[in-house]
Amino acid sequence: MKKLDKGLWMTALTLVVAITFLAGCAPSGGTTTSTAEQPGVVNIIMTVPLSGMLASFGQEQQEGMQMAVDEINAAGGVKVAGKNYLIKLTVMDDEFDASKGEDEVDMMLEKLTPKPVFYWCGSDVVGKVIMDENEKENLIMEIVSSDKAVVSTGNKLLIRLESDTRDVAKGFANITYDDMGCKKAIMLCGDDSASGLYRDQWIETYKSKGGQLLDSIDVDLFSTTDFYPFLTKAIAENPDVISTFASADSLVLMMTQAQQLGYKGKWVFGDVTEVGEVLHLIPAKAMQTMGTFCGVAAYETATLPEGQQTRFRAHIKKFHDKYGADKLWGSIVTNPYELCYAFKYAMEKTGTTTDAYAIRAAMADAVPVPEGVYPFYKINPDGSGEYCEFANICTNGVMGNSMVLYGDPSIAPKTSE
Amino acid sequence: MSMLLQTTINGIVIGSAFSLVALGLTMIWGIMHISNFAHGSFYMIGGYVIWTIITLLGVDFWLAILITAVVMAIFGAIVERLTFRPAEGPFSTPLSSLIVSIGLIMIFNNSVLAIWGARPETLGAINIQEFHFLNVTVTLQRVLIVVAAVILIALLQFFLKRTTLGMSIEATAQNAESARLMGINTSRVGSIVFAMGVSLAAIAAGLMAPLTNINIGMGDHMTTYGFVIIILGGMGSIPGAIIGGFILGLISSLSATYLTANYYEVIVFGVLILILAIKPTGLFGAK
Amino acid sequence: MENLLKLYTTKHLLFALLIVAALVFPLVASTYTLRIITMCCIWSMLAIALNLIVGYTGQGNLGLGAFFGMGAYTTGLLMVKLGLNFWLALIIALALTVILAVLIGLPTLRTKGAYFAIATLCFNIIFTTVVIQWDALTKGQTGLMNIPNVPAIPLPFGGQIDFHESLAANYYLVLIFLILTIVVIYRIVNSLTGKSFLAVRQDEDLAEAIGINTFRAKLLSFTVSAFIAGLAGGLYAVYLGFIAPAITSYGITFTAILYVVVGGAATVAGPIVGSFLLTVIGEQLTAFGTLHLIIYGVLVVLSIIYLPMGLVGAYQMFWPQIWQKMKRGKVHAA
Repeated sequence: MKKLDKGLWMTALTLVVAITFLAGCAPSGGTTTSTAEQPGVVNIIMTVPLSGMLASFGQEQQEGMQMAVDEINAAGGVKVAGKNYLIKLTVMDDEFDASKGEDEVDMMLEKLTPKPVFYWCGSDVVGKVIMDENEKENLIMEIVSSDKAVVSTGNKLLIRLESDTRDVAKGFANITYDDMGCKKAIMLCGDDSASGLYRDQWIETYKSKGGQLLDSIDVDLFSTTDFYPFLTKAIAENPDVISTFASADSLVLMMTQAQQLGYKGKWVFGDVTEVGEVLHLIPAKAMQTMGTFCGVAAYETATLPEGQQTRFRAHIKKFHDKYGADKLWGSIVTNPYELCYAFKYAMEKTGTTTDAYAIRAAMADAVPVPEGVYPFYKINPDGSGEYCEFANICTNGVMGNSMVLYGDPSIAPKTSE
Repeated sequence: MSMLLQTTINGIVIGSAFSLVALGLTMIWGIMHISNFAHGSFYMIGGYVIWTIITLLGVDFWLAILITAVVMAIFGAIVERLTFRPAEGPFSTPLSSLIVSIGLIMIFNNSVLAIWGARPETLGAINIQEFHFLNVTVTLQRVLIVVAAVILIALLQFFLKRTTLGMSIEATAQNAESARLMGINTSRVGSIVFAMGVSLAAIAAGLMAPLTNINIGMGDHMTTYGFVIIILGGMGSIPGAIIGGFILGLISSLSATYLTANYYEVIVFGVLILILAIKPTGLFGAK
Repeated sequence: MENLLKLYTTKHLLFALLIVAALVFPLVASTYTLRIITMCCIWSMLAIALNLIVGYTGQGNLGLGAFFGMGAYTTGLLMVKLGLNFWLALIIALALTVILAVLIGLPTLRTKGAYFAIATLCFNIIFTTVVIQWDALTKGQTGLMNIPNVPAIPLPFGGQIDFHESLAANYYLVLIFLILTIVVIYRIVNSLTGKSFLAVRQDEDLAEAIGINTFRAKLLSFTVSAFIAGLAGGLYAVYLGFIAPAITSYGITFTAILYVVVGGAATVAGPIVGSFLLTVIGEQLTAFGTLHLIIYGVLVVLSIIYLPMGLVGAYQMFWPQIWQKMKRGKVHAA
C-alpha cells in the first residue's frame, strides 16, 4: 500500500515536471502571426531583477516601461512608413545573475518575431556581459548602471541614462565643505556598487578641498539587523557631518537612531535618496528637531518651473492611479518611460523598425520627449544621458538649484543662475 | 568609557535577538537533527506578519507579538509536516534537510515578494522613549527587547524542566529511541519543537522590527549568525545557544565599533573558525 | 557474466554516443541553447567538485563557492591587471586555489559533521566580504569588467580557433575540460583513494582503525574538489568576461548542492544530470513570470521527498530490480 502510494506520487511529480515543460514552451511557441491587415509588432525586451533584494528596483523599471507601452498602444501605436505597429513588451527576471540574464536575452532574440531592436537592461551585472554582443545583434541597449565606465567602450548602440553618481558626489562634497561649512566628516554608505562609486568620489573631492575624513563605513543596508554599532562608532568620532548614500528607508532609520544616540551634527545624502520620501517617512516636525541637515533635492517639485510642476503632478497621479498610491515616482520609473517614447519617435522619424543604428541616432534627437516630466534632455554620442536639472547641477561639480529643506538657512547654497 | 558601555549595551540588545533565534535553531537540531537553513526566512516572515497585524488590525504591539507567535507556530508546524517530515526516510542524508531549506527559502522569499511587494516596510515609532545615563542612550524598545528575551528564556527553561511536555522534549533530545520506548510520541514532540523554534524566531523578528526595515533580506544574517552561535555553544545545547547568542552579539558590536566596521564579519566568522581549530566541537561542546 | 559484459559494453556505447552528440551539438543548436548548455557544463564541473567532497567523502563543505570565486577572480585579475595570457593565468590561479584550499582545509577538517559545514560556511562569508571590501584590488561590488577572451589558437592547416567571435569555440573549450574532469573523477572514485573516501563517509573511526589516514584522505578530497571548483571558476570568468562578488558567495555552493542531490550524490553521472536538468527546468519556468522561483522551490522540495537518493541514485537502485522482473517475466512467458 505504502509502495503504491509512493509510486503514485512519483507519477504525479513526473507529470508536474512534464506539464511545467509544456507550459514553459507554450508562450514562446505561438507569439506572433501578423497578417497584412493587422497592425505590425515592434518588440521591446527587458531583463530586470524581479526576485531577491533588488526586486523593487526591477519592478519600478518594469512599471515605467509598461506605462509608456500601454499609452502608446492605446493611442494607436507607432506609425512607421504608413503602417501602424503595436509595441509588445517582454519582461524577464534576471535574478541579478549575469549568466542567467544573458541566456534570457538570447532566448528572447531567438524566439520573438520580429527580432527586437530595443533592450532595457535593468541590472548592470547582466549589462556588462551583454555589452560585448549587442552591436552584433543589432540591438539598442539601455544599461542601468552607476558605473560610468560602461559608456567608454565605443559601443554605438549603448545608452546609459543614469546620472553619474561620481559627478553628483563632487557637487555634494563641495556643498558640504563650502556651503555647510563642515570640516570633519564621516562617510556612512551602503556596500553596493553605486554606493562605492559615490563614496570614493565624495571622499576624494572632500579631501582635496581640505576636509578631514574621520572614517568611512560601509553597511549592508538590506540585512543589517541594527545600525547602533555603526552609529556609535561614527558619533564617537565627533563629526560635523555624516555623509550618506542610502535608500530613504535605511536613511530614516539611521537618522532617527543617530539622534537617539545624541548626534547633533548635519546630514548630507546622495541622490539615491529621494527627499520627498524621507519626508513621507518621518513627519516634518520630528525632522526639525533632528538638528540641521541639508537635503539636496534635485527632483523636488518646488525647484521645477511652474508649467513643469503641473505636468509633474499630473504624471504622478496617472502613475498612482495605475499602480497604487504607495508607489514611488522617481528616475527609476521615468527613465524607461521616457526612453520608450524616444524609441517610438525615433522609429517614426527614421521610417524603420529594424535599423537599430538609425533608430539609435534618431533617439538622441527625439529627446526631450513631450511626454517627459523631468526629462533627461540629452543623450550624448557615447550613450550617456543628462538630465535637465543635473545638467546644470552637476557639471564640474558645481551645485546649483539645490535645496535646503530644514534648519539653519545660513547654510543654504548659493543658487547659480 | 561611555562608548564601551554603549557598545556593550548594543551588543546585549542584538545578542538577545540572536539568542532567541539560536534557541529555536538548536532545539530543532537537538530533537530532529534538521539543519534548518530556512530559519532566517521564518524570522523574515515573522517580521512581515507582525507588520501586517499592527498595520491592518491596529492592535497593540505586545498583543501583535503574541498573535504573531501563535500564527507562526501554527505555520511552522504545518511547514514541518509538509516538508521536513516527509523528507525524513531510510534514504535521507544530512543533506536532505539542507535541500528542503533551500527550496523553502525560494518559496518563502518569493511568496513574500508576491504578497507584500518588493518595497521594504517600516513599523514606525514604537516605544521610542529615551533613557540617558553616563552619556549612554537606550530606548525603551531596546530595554524591552532584553527584558522580553530574558523572560522568554526563563519561561522556556521552566517549560522544559517542570512540565510533562517539556520533560518529554528533554528526554527525546537526550535519547530519541528510549524516549519512544517510554511511550513518548517523538513525532509529535518534533512538530511541537519545530513550531516553538519558528515561533521564537518570529518573536525575535517582532521585537527587532521597530529598529529595522522589514524586507526580504532581514533574515539572511540571522541564519548564518544562528548557525555560528549554535556551533559555538555546541549543537543542541540550550544554555550554549543562550550564552553563544550574547557572546556573538558582543563580538559583533565590539568589533564593528572598535576594530573595523567594514571587515567586522571577517572577525565574527574568523573567531569561530579559530575556536573550532582549537576545539573542534565548539566552546561548550561535550566530546 | 555474459549479461554483465553486455551491460558494460552498452554503457560504453552510450557514453561514446553522448560524446558524439555533445561534439556535433553546436552544428544544430541555436545561440541560446548553446549558451545554456555551455553554462550547464560549467555548473556541472562545480557540482562534480562538490560531489567529490560532499557525496563521496561525506564532508558537508559549504565553502566551495569561495574556491569557485578564487579561481574566477585570480584568473580574471591576472589577465586584466597583469595582462597575462589565459592559460598562464589559469595555471597560477589553480595553484593559488590549491594553496588556499590546503590552508583552509588544515584547520577546518579537524572538525566533523555540522561543525565542518559551518566552519567552511564562515570561511566562505569571510572570503566574499574580503572580495567586496578590498575594492582597490577586486573593484568590489562594481565587478571586474573586460576580462579578455581565451587567445586564439592557430590551426596547423591555417586559420584559427577564435574565442572572441565563436561561441562554439568556447563551448568546446568548456566541454573538453568537463570531459577531462569526468575522466579524472571516474578514475579517482574507482581507485583505492576513492574507496578510502567512501570509507571515511561510512564510518570515520572504522576507516581510521583499518589503517586509512582519514585526515589525509579528507584533505586530498577537499583540495581536489577545490581545484576543480577553481577550474570551473576560471572558465566562468573568461567565458562571461565579467565577474562580480556574488559568484563567490555560499549561494553558489547551495546551488551546486541542489544539483548534486537532485541528480544523485556519490554517483559519477548525478551532478551532471542534476545540473542540466535543473538548469533547463529553471529556464522553462521563467515563463511563469514572478511565480517561477516559487514553483522551482516546490519542485526542489518534492524531489527531495520523493527521490531522496536523486535521479541517478534511484535509477541505480531500482533499475536492476525492474530488469530482474522483466527477465523473469520473459522466462515465464517462454
